[in-house]
Amino acid sequence: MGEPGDDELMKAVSAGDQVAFSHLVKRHLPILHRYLTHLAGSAADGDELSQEAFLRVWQSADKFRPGKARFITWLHRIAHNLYIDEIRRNRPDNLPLDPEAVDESPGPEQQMQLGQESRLLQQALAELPEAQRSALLLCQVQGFSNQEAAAIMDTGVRALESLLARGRRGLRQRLARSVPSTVKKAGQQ
Amino acid sequence: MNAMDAKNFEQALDRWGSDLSDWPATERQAAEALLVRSKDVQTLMEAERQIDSALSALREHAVSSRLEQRILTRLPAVAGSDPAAGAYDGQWIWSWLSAKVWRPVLLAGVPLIFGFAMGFGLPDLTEQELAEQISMLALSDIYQEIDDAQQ
Repeated sequence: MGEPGDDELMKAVSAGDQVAFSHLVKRHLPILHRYLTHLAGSAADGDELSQEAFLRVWQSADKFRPGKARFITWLHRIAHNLYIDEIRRNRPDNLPLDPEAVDESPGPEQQMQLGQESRLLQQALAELPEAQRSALLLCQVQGFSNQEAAAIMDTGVRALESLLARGRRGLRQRLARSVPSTVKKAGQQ
Repeated sequence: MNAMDAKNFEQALDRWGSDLSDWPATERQAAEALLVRSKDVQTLMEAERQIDSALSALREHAVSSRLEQRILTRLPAVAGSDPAAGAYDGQWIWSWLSAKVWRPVLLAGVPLIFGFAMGFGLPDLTEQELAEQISMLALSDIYQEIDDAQQ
């Protein structure tokens, strides 16, 4: 017999089953943590937000409607809202995140693993406005469809497509400033 | 097939990304034709592919097992969705009654309940009191008519 699906586990979680909850955490924490780390620009913020998101899942399990959305979409929506609340609380002027934060957060081992290209990309991502960064991460990294990403961000599909387009162009321009190679030539066009 | 220039190409690239198979057929054909003859567009496409590849590289991500443990150990301290809570505090009755299906039934039942309450609340009347009530309801003065008839 295969592993139980997310919907089945959520049914058990809404009945207070901690074992089912631990299965869900094990299955989805790495994916959610990746999104939140790149969105917030630091692994420490990724930790905090992931923890809070899963605790919200535990507290609000009875609000999950299996037929309406996939669990992973619902989880990302919770996490995205938490992040938005967080930046509203801490950054009333809603400034983009400090790009330097990306370089500070990963530990030495992670730094070794990150290639130059990847570090520059993370820095360029951090400089993008939050909504563009979020749209790019959800579609290009997390693998959501435009429709699902729009639902997570509580926006329309057209608005999301526009965010994606501006985000891609923004990345190209920012990378062109820091990479004296193909990207640079392309960004100058 | 529409002709495509570098500007249109960049707009399409922003919209659909570097994988031409994601582009609509007409735009894809125009883009392929432009890629063959324009070095600038080739450079632009190469840059976009590098970005896509760097974004894909972000998928490689590890998370500490301590975080998983931290989340799980915090659970008992958090008021969870204990199923018993709903059963014992009576909230389930309200949530059942206020469910979408029952809301119109409840609304329709309000005048009915009011009518029954009024009916059972009326005092027992003597024959004369009943005649007075009926004459009041009829907006006529039955006694005046009787007096007039007697005169």
